[in-house]
Formats: sequence, C-alpha cells, structure tokens
Amino acid sequence: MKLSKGALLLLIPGIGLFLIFVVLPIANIAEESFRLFVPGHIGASKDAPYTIFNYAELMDPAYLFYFIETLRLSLICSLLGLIVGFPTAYLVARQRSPFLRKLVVGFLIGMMFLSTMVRVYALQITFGPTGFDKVICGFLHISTNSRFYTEILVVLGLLHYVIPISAITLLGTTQNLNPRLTEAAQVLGAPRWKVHVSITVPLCVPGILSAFLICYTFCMSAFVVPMVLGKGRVLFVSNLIYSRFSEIANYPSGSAVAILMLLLSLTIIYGITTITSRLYKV
Amino acid sequence: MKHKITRRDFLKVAGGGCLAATTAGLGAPFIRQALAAERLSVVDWGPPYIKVSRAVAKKWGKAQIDWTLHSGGAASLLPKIKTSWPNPPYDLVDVWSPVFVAMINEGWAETVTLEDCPNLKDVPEDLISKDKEGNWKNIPRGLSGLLWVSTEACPIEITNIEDLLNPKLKGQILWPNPTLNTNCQVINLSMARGGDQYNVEPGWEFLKELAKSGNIGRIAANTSDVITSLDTRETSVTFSDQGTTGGVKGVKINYLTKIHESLKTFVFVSGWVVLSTSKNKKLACDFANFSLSKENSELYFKVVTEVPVNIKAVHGLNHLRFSPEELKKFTVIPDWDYITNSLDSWNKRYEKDIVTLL
Amino acid sequence: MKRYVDDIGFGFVIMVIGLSLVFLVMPIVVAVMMSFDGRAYLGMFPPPNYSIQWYQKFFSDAYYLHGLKISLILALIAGIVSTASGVSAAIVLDRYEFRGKKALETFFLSPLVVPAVVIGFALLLFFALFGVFSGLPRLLGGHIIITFPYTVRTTLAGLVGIKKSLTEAALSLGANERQAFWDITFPLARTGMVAGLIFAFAFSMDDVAVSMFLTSPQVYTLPVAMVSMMRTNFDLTIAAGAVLLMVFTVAAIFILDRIFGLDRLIGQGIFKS
Repeated sequence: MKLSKGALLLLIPGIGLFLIFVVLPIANIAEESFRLFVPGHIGASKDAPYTIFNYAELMDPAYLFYFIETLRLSLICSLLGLIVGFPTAYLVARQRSPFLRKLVVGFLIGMMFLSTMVRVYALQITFGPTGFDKVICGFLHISTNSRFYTEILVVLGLLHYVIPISAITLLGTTQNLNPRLTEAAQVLGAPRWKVHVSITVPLCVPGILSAFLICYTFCMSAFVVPMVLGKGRVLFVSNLIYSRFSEIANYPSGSAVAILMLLLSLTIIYGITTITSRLYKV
Repeated sequence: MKHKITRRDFLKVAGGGCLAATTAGLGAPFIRQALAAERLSVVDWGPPYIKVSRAVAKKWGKAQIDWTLHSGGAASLLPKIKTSWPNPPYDLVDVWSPVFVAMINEGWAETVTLEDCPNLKDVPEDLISKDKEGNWKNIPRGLSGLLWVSTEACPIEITNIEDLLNPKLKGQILWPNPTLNTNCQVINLSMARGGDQYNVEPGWEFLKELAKSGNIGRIAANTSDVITSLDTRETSVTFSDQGTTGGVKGVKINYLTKIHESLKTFVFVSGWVVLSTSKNKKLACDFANFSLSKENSELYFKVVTEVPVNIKAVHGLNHLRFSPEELKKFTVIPDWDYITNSLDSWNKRYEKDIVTLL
Repeated sequence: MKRYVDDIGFGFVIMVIGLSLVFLVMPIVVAVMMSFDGRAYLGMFPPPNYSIQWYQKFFSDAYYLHGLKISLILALIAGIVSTASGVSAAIVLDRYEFRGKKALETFFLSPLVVPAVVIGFALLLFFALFGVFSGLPRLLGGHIIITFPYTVRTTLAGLVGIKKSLTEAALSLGANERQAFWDITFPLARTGMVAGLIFAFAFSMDDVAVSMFLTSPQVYTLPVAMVSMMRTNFDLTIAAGAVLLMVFTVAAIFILDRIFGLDRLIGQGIFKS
C-alpha cells in the first residue's frame, strides 16, 4: 500500500525522537572526530583545527583486528542464539499444556531482568578457576589460560543474553504460524525435518531476520560482557571507545572509532536486510 | 468522517500527562531543597572513601552535603564538568595526581591559600599541586603509592622484576592496562631495562616478552577488577595502588616495596580540588580543611589505608615508610604532567602491539 | 528410515535446548548463592558461610533506594513512550511500501549499533548545548532512544505472518482502517508488542553505560549507584539487589497470570493449540 497521510503521522513520533536524540548528537560526535586532540587536555578545545588524523591512525592493521574480532564473535553468538531460540519459540507456541508454556515464557522474561553486572560476575565465577573451566578445557584439550577459552567465555556471556532475547522475539513470529500447513505436509508424506526446513523456516524468515539483527547489534555494541569476561585480552570496539572517552579523555579519537563502527554496522545491517528480502520475497 | 478519539490518542495524552505530573512531582522536592539552606555538592570515591567522608561531614555539620560517587575512573567525571561548563554541578571533587594536572591545565581548579585552609601548614609543600605561577591549586589528603604486590597464592617468591617472566607464574599476573595507574607499570619495566619515564621503549620490549610468555592471566581495566581477581585467587601478582590493595580482604597481601630496586614504588597524592566555578568556595575550603585535621587524617588512614599528608598524623603503613636513602632507591615521583600527556600515545601503542600478543 | 532421521533430529534439538537451559540457569543459582555470601567480599566459590547481610545493606542504604525509585520511574515512562512510538513505526514499516523503506528500517536500528558509551556522551554534549543539566530529562531521552529499536523490531517480528488478507477481509466487510487495525491486527500482533514493552522495561532498568554519563547529583539510577559503590570495594549488595529484582519480576508475572491470564496478556497468535 502506498504511504497515506495517516501512516506518515504514525511515523512522526519515531522519526522525531530520532532526530532529537540520535541524529543531532551523532552529528555532534562526527564533528568532534575531525578535530585535533592535544594530549593532557580534556577533549578537543573549542577552536581546535580540523584534521583527519584520528581516522588516519585507525587505518593500522591492529585496529582492523579489533573490528574483525568484534564482528566475528558477534556473528557466532547471534547464530548460536538463533539456533537455540527458534526451536524454543516454536516448541512453546505448539505446547499443549498451558502450565508448561507459561513456565517457559515466565522464565525467559525473568531472565531478561537479571542485572548485567551480577550476570557477568556470576558467569565469571561459574566458568572461572573455581568453576567449570578445567572441565570444559579438558573436554576441548585447550589450556584454561588460552585466548581461545577467553573468546569462548565472551561468546557464552553474550549468549546468556541473546538466547532469551531471540526466543522472546521469535515467539511472536512462531505463534502466527499456521499448524495446518505442517500437518498437511506431513500427511502428504514429508518427514518432519523436511517439513520444517521447507515450510516453517521460510515462513518465519522476516521474524528470524529481526531477531538476528537485534542479537547481532546487541553483541556488536556489547560493553560490559567483553570487559569483564574478556579479561582485558579480548577487546571489543566498544571497549576501545570507552577507554578513549572515560579514561584518557581523547574524545576526537573515540568519536572517530565510534563513527567508523556506526558506518560499518549500518552497512552490514542494510546489506543483510536487502539480501534477505530479495532471496525470500516477502 | 467524524473524528473518534481512538485508544491510541487517549494513551498518548495520558502518557504525556503522566510524564508531566511525574516530572513535576519529582522536581518539587529538589526545588525545595535548592532553595533551602546552603548545600555543598561533593564528588568522592565509593567505599571505603565515602565512609570516611560521610563521618567527617557529620562531625563538621556546617552544611548539608550532596554526595556524588565516581562511577568510573577519576577521568570519567571530566566530561560531565566540561559539558556543563561554566556551571558544573559540583563544588569539591576528590581526585588524584594525574587528574590534578588535567584540571589545572583546563583552568578548573581554584587557588587555595593558607588563609582558606590553615591545616595546610602541616602538609609538606612539595605535595601541593601548583600551576605555572606557583599558586596552590589543591588540598591533598593522602599520600599513596603505586606498588607491586603478590598474594599468598603466588607460586614463587618475587625478589626481582625479572621474576615476572618465571614460567611458574603462568596465568598468575594481573597486568593493569595503560589507563590504570597512568601506565607507571610500563615505566617501571623500562627503568629495569635501562630506560626511564621519558624513554619507555625498553619497557614495551619487556612487556612484549611478558605477553608472549603467557604469564598474564588477566588485564585489569579498573580497580574493582583488581580486587575481584585477587580475592577469587584468579591471579596473584599485580601492580596497583595502596588503597585498592588495602581493599583486598580475602587473601593475604605481600607488599613488594623495599625488596629490590627494580621493583619501584610510584608516589602519588590524592586530595580535594575546589572548582573555580563553585558558588560555595569558602564552605568547600572549610570542609576540606576540616578533613585535613590531625584526627580526621588518622581516621582517613585507618579506613582508607593511605598515608595521611598531615605530618602530625600517625600511621601504620610500614611498607610505605621510607628513609631518605630508601626514598632514593625504591621510589619514583613521576613527572605527572609529562606522563599524563603521553598516556594517549601509550594507550594506542598498547592497543596496537601488546593486546594482539595476549 | 525417515523416522530415524526425524527422531535423531528431534532428540538433537531437545538436547541443545536442554543444555542451554542448564547454561542459563547456572549463573542464576550462582548469583543467588553469592547474594547470601557470609564473607565481606567476593571470594572463591562456594561461599563457606551464609548470611543475609547484603539484603539488609541494600534496604538500609538510602542511596540505593533512591536509585531504585528513579530507575523504576524511568523504566515505566521510557517503556511506554518507546513502545507507543515503536509500534506506530513498525506498523507503517510492515504495511506500506515506499522508497527508502529499507534505509529507514536500518536507521531505526542505529541506537543499538552505536555503543552505549557514545550515546551517553553524545546526549550529554547535546543536552548541554540546550542548557539542560537536570538528570531526569537527560536519562529519559537516553533510555527512550536505546529501547526504541527493540520495540520496533519485536513488533515487526510479531506482525509477520498476519496475512494481509485478514485485514482486507475485514475492510471488505465494512470496517474502516482504524477498526481493522484495532480489532484484527492488534490482538494478533500483541505478542510482539508486549515483547517490545518487556525489552524496553528490562533494558531501561539494567542500563549502566548510557546512564553513567547522564546522571546528576540528585538523579541517578540503581545500576549506576551499584557500579559506583563497586568501584573501590567489590560489594555483594548488587547481587542482593539483582536477585530481588528477578524475584520481583517473577512475582509480577505470577500475579499478572492470576489476574489476567498470561496467555491472554501476551497473546497466542491466531492458532491456539
């Protein structure tokens, strides 16, 4: 349907909020990123000269490493989260017993409300030297002190958020799936796995896309989880930004990293959204 | 078509009305408070510092104090001051050496004199930060050190800085990142290999060896990392400040301050700065002065475990008591101005060269 | 043959879900045990003795309770405003086609992509430009904007699968656009919308990174209060606070279920089992 005046009216609160609270502040940051920073001061002074120095120094391969690390671990975590979240949402939607359904939904909602700080330290205890680290590392034949294990910890920490998020988001999608379709397919002789692959999943693609994007962006901008569970060895881009803003007061450099991250992420999201909608004509 | 009031319209109006009412309701007591008797807005650290400050404030009693706690490092307060300039909502802030420098450079620190703070006469003048013209710009409270510590969980006895590379220490070192302790740990590394605070290249080489050796278990990003990691026995050797290590209660700490000249102690001052925009300068100076008295200084030492700057106060930190020869051999008073200015490039060097090796 | 693959596949899925459930629950158990830790610090696990000291501390400290009050108010207002605008935006994005739709969708997700530290700092600078130094409007702005992407996305996920033919059928039977929405689409998409509200509320209650920049001496949130207290002295009061919050949430869900029925509140979509 074409955009009517009423529909435009509905968009106004969203766009208005965005203009005030996102576009303008980000423009401010973008401006700051082009200014020169004199060490020892706090941020760039009001009449600092314009320069692209902040961006130029980010072209070092080490910084590429950080961006790739962030994107890679976020991707792994989001995919794992979807793999667990989608079947959970599907099973809850198809659950006959109301008690079990309410229990699982209530549990998932309750999980959302566990405070970040506590969750992260609890995870650190669970998988640290006094917890299961020797068990898991023995199983995988790696050292408890290795970088790989630290990366696993960070992914696990992020998963702890991502699984409830994806399950709850996908609940809305799976509930609107017509069960007659799967029944019909089975009556016609398809095995259950084929039914799901060819019917259930394609019908839910837009919902899966939304859930994936939420999880992916959440992971990419995660800050506390990599800070504590990453042991300072696995650094996400948001940790780089934090140290520039809150510890060294080099706001121009922090702004530059932030703008780069923003552009990169928006491009990825736009790309994924466009490709998915083209492959699965919604 | 007749315009019906839809449920959404109603919700929007109701939401807006609730918002207005709540803001008004919340704002009223604050407005009342602001108009009431003089209040001082003070920024201090979380426990145990705030405990002492509250106790001192109670004894002082000359005005009500609104406490704000540092929610990040001392530097995370600075953006709030900068953006609300020229009316930051604070009168008095408790920070330490590197931040004194930054605030003086920005012109945020108010000049204090013996007249405003008589107790400053009991404080060695060297410890008071000055600006380019020699004006006194802060009111010191505690003298402390950035020092090496090991815990009872450490597998070996540390006698020399090169012991850090001992294979028995795999995963046992908690290395502070450059933003902690103003990177004095790398300065110490460079001093052990022939460099100093102005030439830290040998320090980076040493750190690269340390990173490759696998002895670094965790990089600390803030002081609560240090406390938690040592308390849970995740790591057992680190470089940190006296106040933080004093907060480790779950495991015994060995202070490595007078063991070997390669293991240095960096001396710093923590104390009050009166903001030059404050409307309650006399009151702020008065409170700071009161907190500096002999008995309040001793209370400060007891709770916070920093050496009180008031030379009349008694303290029991033997590992921070240095004779003149020991001072020369084991301590460093860094050029805070220089190293604060170098921190940005050091941090970037760390991000580029060291983290990838861990 | 088909049966075997089916059963193996199903068994595998159940195993994965089961493992994840254990994984999700374990830290909660640890957190609860931490909150009853008898020691005065966070030490090795398991705690040697237990006490309720942290809960006592939590309730006796006016600093925390003030933060709790502000957090609840913020979460409520930000949640409602964010959900209302997010739902409106999601409806338009789902029902209508126009140029730049994909770009707008991406754009609406941007607060999630910008690290919270940057948002907090940017808002701080921005509000300062307009002379707004009071904590409450700043915190409200920050919380609304970081929860908005969630409400849009969950509503979009919930609107999927609601066949347009249902709305068209209603329209052809004589309903106007508004009636068609409120009576057909809204109840079916309710799950997505309620999910958005829950996310908005939860993330607002939990946020530290954005709120850290936007608090003022009189107005601060509970998580920021807890982090500040944790700075120099790791305090298990936050464990007590977190467990209390979870218990409160679960109790709220239970009560809501008794009064309204959780299924009716969250919606069951078109096809009830």
